[in-house]
Amino acid sequence: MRTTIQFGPQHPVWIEPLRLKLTTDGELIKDVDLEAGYVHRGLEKKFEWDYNKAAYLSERVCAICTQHHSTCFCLGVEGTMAGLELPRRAAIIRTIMLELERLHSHFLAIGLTLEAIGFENMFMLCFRHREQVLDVFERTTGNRVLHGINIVGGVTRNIGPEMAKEILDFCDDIEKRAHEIERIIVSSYTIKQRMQGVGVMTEKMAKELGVVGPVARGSNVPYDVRHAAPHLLYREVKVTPIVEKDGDCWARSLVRVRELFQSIDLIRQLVPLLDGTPDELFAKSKAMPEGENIARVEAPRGELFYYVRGKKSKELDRVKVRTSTYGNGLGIAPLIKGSHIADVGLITITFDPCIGCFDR
Amino acid sequence: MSLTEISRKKSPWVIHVGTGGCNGCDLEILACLTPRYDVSRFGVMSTGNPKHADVMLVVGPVTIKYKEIIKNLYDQMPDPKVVISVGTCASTGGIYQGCYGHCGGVDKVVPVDVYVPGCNVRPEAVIDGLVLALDILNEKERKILEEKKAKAKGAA
Repeated sequence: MRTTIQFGPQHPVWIEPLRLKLTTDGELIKDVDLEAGYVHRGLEKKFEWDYNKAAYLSERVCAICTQHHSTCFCLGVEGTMAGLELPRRAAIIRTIMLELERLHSHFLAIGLTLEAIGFENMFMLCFRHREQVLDVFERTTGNRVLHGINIVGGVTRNIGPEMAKEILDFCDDIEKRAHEIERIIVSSYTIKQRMQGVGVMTEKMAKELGVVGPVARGSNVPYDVRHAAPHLLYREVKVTPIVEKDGDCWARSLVRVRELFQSIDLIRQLVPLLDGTPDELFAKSKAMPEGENIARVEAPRGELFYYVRGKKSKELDRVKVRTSTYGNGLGIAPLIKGSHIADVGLITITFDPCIGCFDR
Repeated sequence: MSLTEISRKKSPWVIHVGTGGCNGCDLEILACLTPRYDVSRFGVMSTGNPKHADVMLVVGPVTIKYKEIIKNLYDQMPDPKVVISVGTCASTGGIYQGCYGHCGGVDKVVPVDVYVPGCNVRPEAVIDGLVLALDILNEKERKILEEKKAKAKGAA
């Protein structure tokens, strides 16, 4: 007998609204219908606004990858302004912030994944470590979640030599903590049993669906925008994509765990570059945004894409946002089909869905 | 103070409803529930079930599609209940004012008792709002009890 179950929009597994209509035969899921749009605010229309204010608006698309959104938007607008060159120090600070943002986002994603399988203790541990990253944010930008340091043409806050040392100390501390988490996850028989072989996305499927970020890298697709189309300081600091072969929930989570160390390593390489770079944070543009431009950034959830078109005035003509969850959203339905009801929460949460991004 | 009042004050159960926000306030509410700010030391417990909840934490401007659902959730909660609007956009619409996809703050849809300002809010502010909400919860409880007593007297 077939039954239709409504999963969501308000469900304890997700902190945001998303609805799945599951057609089940007993415990097995035969058909899935994904219904989104519960967070659709109409932000892209609002972007037709003063471009300086829009940088703050772009942060509010999604607060988990705030820095990525505003950096991508600023890169997009800066490309439409003739003769505007981003100061090197601003680029370094932006890149450090991007990597710090990735750290906190991955801690969050790992924690929520473990909570979805009922490992609440580890969820709390992940969040305790995440607070350390937020402390660094608070010390450098003044805010815990929405930073507000990116403006078109540069950044508003500097990282001085004392703060640079503090960040390096933080790296040592957080690496220890990340090792602790890795040890628990990798050596745990229970977590492995629960996650291995669940929600398998094959390499072929990943390529056909065009998924991005850790979801693609968990399925043996080495696609990372930092490697494929280097932006900002990634031209100098080389990044190799971290890849896992299996494509199941375990592989996707393991990619996130391994990327923690990659991010820490990148911050360690980036902070010394601040030494001896002139204290110039902001370049004022003489031209108004004109013509069209695209920008791509590797957000914690995958490729983030902004299309910007200016009309030679302060207001922008059109901004199109393609977020990483939008790319990954297609992959959710085929993976859930054929799985058990108990795995639905786990499979969706390993995609690290950010519905704020998804619907905008 | 009656037994129900004491127990309600010592252990309020909250339901967290995210509607159209940017996740910033959701993250801070999660930070509240986890070790650094740890509201569970005051007995606050997060539940996903509206029928178990005393306090509703609403985050984000109410999107048009979510309007009915939030009403539904509110109706499912047992009396007495308190609604806290967390963040500027839940209170007034905030930076999203003028966007076509939402219908303003939470108070346009359900009655709100406590407003917590901030974009995004700090965890301390959320805790402050929760403490304020508990007093309101007890007041509501007292009112309900008095009404019951008056009714019983009238019947007798």
